[in-house]
Amino acid sequence: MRKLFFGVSVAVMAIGFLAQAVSTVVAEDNYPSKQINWYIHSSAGGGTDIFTRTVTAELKDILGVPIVVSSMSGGSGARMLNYMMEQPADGYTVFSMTNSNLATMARKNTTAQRADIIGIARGCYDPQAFMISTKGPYKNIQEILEEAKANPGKIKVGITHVASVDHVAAYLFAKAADVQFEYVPFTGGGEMVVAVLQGTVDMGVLNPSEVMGQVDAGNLTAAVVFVQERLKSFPDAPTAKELGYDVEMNTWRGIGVKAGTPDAVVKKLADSIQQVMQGERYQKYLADNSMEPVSVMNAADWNAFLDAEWPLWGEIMKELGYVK
Amino acid sequence: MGNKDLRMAIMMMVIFIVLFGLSFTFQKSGVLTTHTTAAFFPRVVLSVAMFLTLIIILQNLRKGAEAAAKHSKDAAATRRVVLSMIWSILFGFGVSFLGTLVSMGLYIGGIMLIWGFRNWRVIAANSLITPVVVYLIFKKVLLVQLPAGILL
Amino acid sequence: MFEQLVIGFMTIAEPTNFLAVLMGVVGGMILGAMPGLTAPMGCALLIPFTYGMEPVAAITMLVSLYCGATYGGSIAAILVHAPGTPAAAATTFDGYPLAQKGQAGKALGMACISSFIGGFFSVIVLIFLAPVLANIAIKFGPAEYFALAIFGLSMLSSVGSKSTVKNLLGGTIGVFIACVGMDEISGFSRYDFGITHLMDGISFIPVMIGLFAATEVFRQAEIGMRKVAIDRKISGLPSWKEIKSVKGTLLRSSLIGTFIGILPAEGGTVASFIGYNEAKRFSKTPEKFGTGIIEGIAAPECANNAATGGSMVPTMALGIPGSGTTAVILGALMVHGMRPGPLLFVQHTQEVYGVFAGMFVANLLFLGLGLGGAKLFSQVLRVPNYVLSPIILVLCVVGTYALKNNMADVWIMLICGLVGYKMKEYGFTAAPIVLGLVLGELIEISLRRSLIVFDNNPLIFFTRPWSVALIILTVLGLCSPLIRSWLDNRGNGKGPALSEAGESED
Repeated sequence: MRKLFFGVSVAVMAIGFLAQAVSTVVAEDNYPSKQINWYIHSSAGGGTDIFTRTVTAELKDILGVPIVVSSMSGGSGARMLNYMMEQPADGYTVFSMTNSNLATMARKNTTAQRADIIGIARGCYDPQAFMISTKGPYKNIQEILEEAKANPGKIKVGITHVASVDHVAAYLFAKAADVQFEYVPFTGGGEMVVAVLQGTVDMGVLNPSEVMGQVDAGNLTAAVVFVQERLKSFPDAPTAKELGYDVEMNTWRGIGVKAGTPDAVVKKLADSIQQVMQGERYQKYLADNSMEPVSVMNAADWNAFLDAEWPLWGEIMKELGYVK
Repeated sequence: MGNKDLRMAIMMMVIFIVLFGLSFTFQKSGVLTTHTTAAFFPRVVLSVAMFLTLIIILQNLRKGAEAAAKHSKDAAATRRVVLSMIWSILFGFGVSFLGTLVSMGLYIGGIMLIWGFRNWRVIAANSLITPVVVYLIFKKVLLVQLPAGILL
Repeated sequence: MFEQLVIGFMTIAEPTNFLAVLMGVVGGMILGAMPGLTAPMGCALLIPFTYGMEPVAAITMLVSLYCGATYGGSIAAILVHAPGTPAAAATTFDGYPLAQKGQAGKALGMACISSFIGGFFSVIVLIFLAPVLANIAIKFGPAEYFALAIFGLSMLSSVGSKSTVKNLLGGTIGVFIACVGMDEISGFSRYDFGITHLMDGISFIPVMIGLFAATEVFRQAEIGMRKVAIDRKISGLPSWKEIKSVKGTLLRSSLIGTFIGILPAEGGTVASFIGYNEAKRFSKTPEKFGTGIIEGIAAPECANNAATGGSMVPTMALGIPGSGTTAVILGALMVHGMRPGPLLFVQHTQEVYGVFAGMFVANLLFLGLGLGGAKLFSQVLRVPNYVLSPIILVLCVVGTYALKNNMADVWIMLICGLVGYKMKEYGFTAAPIVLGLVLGELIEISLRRSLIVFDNNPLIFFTRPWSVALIILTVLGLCSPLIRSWLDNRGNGKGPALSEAGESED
């Protein structure tokens, strides 16, 4: 009896090989004709997950095929990018990306590089700011910079993870202002907000959208913002550029596919996603998360944006000692 | 000399020493110089582990050789356990090679056979119905991805 | 306030809102009972569906799922030794032995009632004291978290096998496993042996499922075929007298759970371990813990459900998530235009009280479903082990994979299953390793972050009030068995040597 059972097992494997051999080829001109697999590199329930699900909820109706979003976390996107490299460039493997994917690529933790990715759309551009407690010893950035010049390393800056977009923003600012900060890494924005409120760190690199509740209550305020123009919610907070330090480093989320995907497929995908992002639902999502409509970028603009930011990551990772 | 605990403790000691040695290969940041390095905490933990292992070694040396723990397990039980473990590992390979659905059926049937169950109707029912139910619930209701091999 | 609460209840009584709560609770119980499927994952899946809903319905659905899942974890923990959620790990210690004694109904009933009491208590705290208690979260800095983690580690002396040295070693190994992967402070990877999967570290859930559930499958293989897991009649629910006998434990665990829940860095898992440990420490018969007593079920289950309301405190009052699930709920609050923070209670009073009422109803619903279903759930024990065990391992594999869509987690789970089976022969048990792993990252990060913040001054832990208080509690806790045995032995005129005390305690 047992022999028979294991014999059946072998037979099943043989059928498997056969099935693979005759697997059908899907033509590209009727894209999409089957389920799209969409990957995110962070865990379920995070900002990237919610962004992705907001987009795909409407996109699946426009494209008329199911879209399955799965989290493929590991090595700050390394696992997802490595997986992408193994998949055919046919537009059925789509992924959401953030700055940290550029960091991972720059640190060479994945085989993928900028040239291996085609940007489809940018969906979020979440401004970063130095947030300070309104009850803390420093009232504005000038006081902090004076203190940092007088006592190098005394000013403690909270960042979420080292070598992240937070760290890089603070590092670029410090370098431009010629001061030295002490960086205190946190594992999440929430913990850092607590640390800023209690004075454990003097300021934290945060997205205002994460902390608007505390801002409304008058506990936190922005000292510097890293975008080109002042934010409506913080009219008094200068931009880094105004202070004479040309630093623009903010959190973005976007969508990409593997390079080599046929132009027709890229165009179809990009156009459909633009349709979603210009829609009322998506614009409401942006507003609810304190992001501006300029967050949305089409494929051409966004690829140019990526080309501009990409070399910066390589340089900084080298300076910080994360890549030899 | 050489009771079971002592052998285990000496083996663990060797592993801890190797792991401690590996901590010298960790990279250091050129910028965050005032921070404790990546090696700091593992070394602390491994030191504690080595200290505790040493206590176990000393305790057992003092006790000397004891009568080996009597095995109450019979040969058939050991065989069931070892075969179940091997079949479980093969199941692990199976899900990514054959696919989840098929492997689940093969695994459930196999385990029942290994444990000595011979009622074919129950085996067939459990290895056909359960995988389908699990597969449908996870894939279609909970919308989670399952490893896909060359089959389902 | 009562007026608003009444309006809140009336909101929840509307059919659509009530349906949302019911769906959340039932879905949560199912997710919670499945090893590997977690509440954060469930909430993330639900978020797109909540877009079209009213804010109150949407948020209460997620919160109900959270409450239901936290309770649901205990079902699998009691019946098949597979903690459905991390927070139910401590429930296996007494729940599984009690069920194996033929008293599954009593075990499930106790888990359900204590979950309800913990949850109910924490919701009351949430309603009346949230803004006040949120300040506790602000008091806790890295030094305090380090002291808390050390306090947690001191529990190693009371969970696990007879040998204290082996328990401590197991805990240390757990802490070491937490070191694998990316170092959060320096940003470099450790002990990854070039494997990308290990760069993210070895996560807690696969290890826990392997050590508890998969190990049990192999243990069943050793036992061999059994027609039914238990041949006696399965008992009914616990009696009123039994429930009353653990009221002290329930109150203590409610307080512990709510407090731990409020702290943003820790949640139900740590709460349930501490709840279990304190129940044992205060008990007159600590040696009975682990053999299957209802107190050992009441303590962790009450604590982990009390952490649900607790972790909603900083989420709503500060805008800082108190746990993995509340992080998702926080996102949902923002999606629905309710900006969490100190002003939430003022700006969205109506919605907030609707959510509170929803949490009350959710707790009541799982109480009813759990008590009503206890008989049904315990029929699982009527299934022969040669049918049930392979199904459990299949669910472990599928659930572990679903966690991150990662085969690496499945391998970690399977390896832990093999190791967990083998290590029992050497006198090691799963509990200390799991405890070490739970606390490992907190210990390392809080220690090293404190050193950065306080300029490498290690004395800082002894100068801050909360951390001093926790360190004193730790020392007292560690010494209590010694003091007790010293008091016992004083009559004989010999003080216990350290190693003897170590081996004889508990």
